[in-house]
Amino acid sequence: MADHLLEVKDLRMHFYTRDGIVKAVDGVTYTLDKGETLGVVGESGSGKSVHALTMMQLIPMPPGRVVGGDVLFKGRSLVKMKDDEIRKIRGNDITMIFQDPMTSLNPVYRIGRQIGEPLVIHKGMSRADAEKRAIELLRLVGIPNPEDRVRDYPHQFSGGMRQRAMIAMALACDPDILIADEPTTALDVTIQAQIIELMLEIQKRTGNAIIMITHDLGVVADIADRILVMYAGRPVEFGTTDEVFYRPLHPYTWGLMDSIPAHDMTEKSELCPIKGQPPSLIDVPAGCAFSPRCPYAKERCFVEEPPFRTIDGTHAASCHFAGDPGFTHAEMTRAGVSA
Amino acid sequence: MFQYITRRVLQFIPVFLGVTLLLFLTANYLPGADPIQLKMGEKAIDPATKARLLKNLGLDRPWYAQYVDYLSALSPVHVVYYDGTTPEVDPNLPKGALKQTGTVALVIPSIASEVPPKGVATISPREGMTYTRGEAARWAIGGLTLEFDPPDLGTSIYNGRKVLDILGETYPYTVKLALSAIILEIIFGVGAGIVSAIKKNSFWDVLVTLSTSILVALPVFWLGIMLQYTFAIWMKEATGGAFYLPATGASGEFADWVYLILPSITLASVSTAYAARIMRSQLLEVTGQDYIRTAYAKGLSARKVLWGHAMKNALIPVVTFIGLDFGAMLSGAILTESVFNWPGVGYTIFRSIVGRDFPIVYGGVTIILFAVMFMNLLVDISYAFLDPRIRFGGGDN
Amino acid sequence: MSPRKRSNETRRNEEHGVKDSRAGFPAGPPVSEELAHIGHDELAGRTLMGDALRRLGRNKLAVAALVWILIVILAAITADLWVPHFFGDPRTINSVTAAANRLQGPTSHHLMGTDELGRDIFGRVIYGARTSLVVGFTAVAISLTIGLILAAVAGFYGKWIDTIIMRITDIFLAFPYILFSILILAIVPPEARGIGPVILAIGLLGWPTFARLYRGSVLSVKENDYVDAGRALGASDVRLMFRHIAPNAIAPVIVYATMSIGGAILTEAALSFLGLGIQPPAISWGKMIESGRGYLIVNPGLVFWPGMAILSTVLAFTLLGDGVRDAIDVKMKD
Repeated sequence: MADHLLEVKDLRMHFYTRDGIVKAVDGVTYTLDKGETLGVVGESGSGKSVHALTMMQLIPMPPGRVVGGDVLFKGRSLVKMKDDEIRKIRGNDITMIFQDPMTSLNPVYRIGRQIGEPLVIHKGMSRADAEKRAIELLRLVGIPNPEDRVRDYPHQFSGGMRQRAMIAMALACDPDILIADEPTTALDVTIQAQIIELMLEIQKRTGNAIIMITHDLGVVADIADRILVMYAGRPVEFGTTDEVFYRPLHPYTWGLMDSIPAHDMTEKSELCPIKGQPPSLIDVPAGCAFSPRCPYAKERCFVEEPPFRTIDGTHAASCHFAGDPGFTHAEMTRAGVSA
Repeated sequence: MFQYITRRVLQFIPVFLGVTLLLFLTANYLPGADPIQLKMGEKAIDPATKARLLKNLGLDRPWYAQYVDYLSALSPVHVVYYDGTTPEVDPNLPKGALKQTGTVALVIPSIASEVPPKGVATISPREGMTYTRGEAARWAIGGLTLEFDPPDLGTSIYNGRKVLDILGETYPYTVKLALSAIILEIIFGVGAGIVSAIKKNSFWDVLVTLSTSILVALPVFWLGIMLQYTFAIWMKEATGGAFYLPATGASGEFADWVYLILPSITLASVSTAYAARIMRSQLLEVTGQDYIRTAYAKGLSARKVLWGHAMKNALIPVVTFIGLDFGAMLSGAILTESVFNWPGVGYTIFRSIVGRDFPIVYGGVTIILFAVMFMNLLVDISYAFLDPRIRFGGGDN
Repeated sequence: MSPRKRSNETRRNEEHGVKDSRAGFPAGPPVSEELAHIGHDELAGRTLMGDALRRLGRNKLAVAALVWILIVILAAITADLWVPHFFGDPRTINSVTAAANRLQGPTSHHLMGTDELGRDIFGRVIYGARTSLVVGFTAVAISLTIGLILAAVAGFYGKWIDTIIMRITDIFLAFPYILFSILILAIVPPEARGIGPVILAIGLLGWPTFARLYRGSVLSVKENDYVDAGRALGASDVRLMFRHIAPNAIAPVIVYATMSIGGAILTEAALSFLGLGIQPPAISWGKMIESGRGYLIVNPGLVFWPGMAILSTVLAFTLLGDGVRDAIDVKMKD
């Protein structure tokens, strides 16, 4: 059990608001091993970002509260750690980069100081040494003239450069896990690929694990070892990338795949988005959360919440019919077309 | 940054012209305004005298010419062209007056209504209003001369003294009061704002929110009087009559700063409340920013995040507010000074309103406006030093 | 995603669901026949308003403020009916009783005591409310009218007209408000001073903030999709302006107007205190404080009570404005 680098077990984190209880993270379960890349995929509001912030204890409590489950990092519970313990983990063993590099850097401090800060906190470096190291880090992430740019302010960097700086900051202390929360969403398409490539390249060199949070299944297809699909705060499907892509078990995953524009558009495939809206997390539908939008939903789906169960070795899903013979993406699509 | 400052200064020019025009139009063309009465006091004058005065004061001229005259009087610098000749100072003439052989051909800024007399450049185009140009300093290059004078704000109706001198004497008092009020504002306003933001929704936060609401709704003059009552009358025994009360007169037996206490509390009251509110809302806004989350994700403690990462960002607008407020206070707190008979600019204006000494009111308002506008410009420029986004280019925001 | 963002999102969903908000508003009147006939967007408008009212109703401070304002208004309107009867006419001097009644402390007959001419302070405070309320409401109405017209013209015609109007607005904003009113009223001859010039001075100087606020609001509303949708459907500019833009842009103006009434009352009090505003025998809180100052040692109530009246009334308008702002959820800077 303790072999895994990170083990998330039935994590539940709810917000207690005036309007009601928001079940932002509701039973997330997965494992992550050393050097592995995990893709966490879901629509906005699926709890994919919040679950990461929860395990880093970056959710304000209240209104948030962990109501169940646990997160074990090298066998130690992250959610039960005291503030001074988790602080030694943050920015050191587990680091994060965020969606919007424009707003994630402090506008009134120089880049070098911000990148060097984790070294000052965790490695006890002097500010001058940290800044020297920041130059190397900037060079590592591909910033030209790092000796000069280290003295720049964030607004003097372009969006892509800022995200590189964020990565440099996240790598400063040589972390075990790098959590990237939609790191490319706010960037130009051309820059997106560069940033992803940079992260992979560095992973090869340092052997850190990556948790890549994204709404875009296409982004993780090429880079992830494993994929977790989330919906309405709940895990929907978890497996190796091959499993999820070639033998998807859950109708929601099918829907996500159908809504990816194919790389090869000559193939006559139709782009069909999932109908309907994600549910309000205050008022999650009874039974399966996806049931109101699921084209294959049966009576049972509206009443009984499907457990997140292992179907096939490492492949898990939360659908009553997952693993049933004939209940596959290809079969059901064909049936749908013929009907 | 240079570009930013240049732009700010250039933007200041139309505002300056607009404000002075408004001031000029208000004083001269508002229904009920009689420029002669306002300049000379309330005397019943016959039509002939009135016409002569109008002409001599240059008040029969079109409004734009009068406006330029007004600017010319306010301007501390004039460019004068003496018809190609260099004027020299004549020791026999009054101080600053100069002997000149040419003719004054051009004075900027002004639209000369008549050519000043030949020979001596002591320019007295109007009867009874002799004034000398170039009193403070004069630089001459050929016939072109730069003449420096204190701005002319007119003279008091009652004692004939220059308004500028009168206001100049009272200004140090206003500065002293404003400085002590701003210190109170920084200590209590910023302090309360920080406490209230850190302990959001706590007892202290509610206390700060409530008391700032009350302070903002307080009539300052009433607060001043009630403070006087409390400390000078009600607690007379305890304070030993240390607090200045106009009804009883200043005893003068205490150190200067004792007399400053109540007026500065009064003057600081509303500003302190605003400073606290701005500090609180800025800090709360900043702590919701993404870069604060980044700072936490680095492993910084809450205290370091607050003082290291949040405070500097949150303070920029607060410093701006306090700067603007200092301008407003410097420019004379009419109400506070009136309540405490504090001999500053505001009190002088108040007394002149009562006494109908309009040139002092007008001159005082002009001075205040200039102080406020200048402070605004200064704050705008200082912004460039506070915010690296402006200091190192990249537009206004 | 931050929790704050999320709760906003869910709240917005609620607002858009017409059914939901009606369900949450059971105390309101049932949907009448005529409501059923009007268009959908109008219905949504009503329930949005209902939503705002419901939120306002939940804000205890704002409700208390509203109640206090209503009490003050009612007392001021009905003053003639009961004040002279119970406390003697506080507007006139009864030479017989004046000497005997001067500067009394609070008694059962004179709740707040009497002034230097034997007049009842409580009664004078009630009559002072008339002045304050009249000045507050009319001055703000003047500012509001000028500001909205100028902003609408600027926003509607755009280009150089907009530039000129906004430059003028900047100039007026650079002019300290109280200072300008002092200058204007100092020019007015003492015998002509009174409530009229005060209202004009405050009203004519208060418009720039309204103009700027409303213009900014119009510009941001103009960017909204539903305005584009209206344009795409072929709505005329005027129709767009009055049916789609104006009602949606007015929210911050309403909030500011509510707070401004308090501000105008404060300014009037200050001007009257300086001797530039209301002149005796008219009654004003500011003037009462000014004339009561000389009797501070004998009867501090002369200063205390009118000040409390100003404080409570201005505070009420501020709190109500805060409440309205929170209820309609418009972003305004402090």
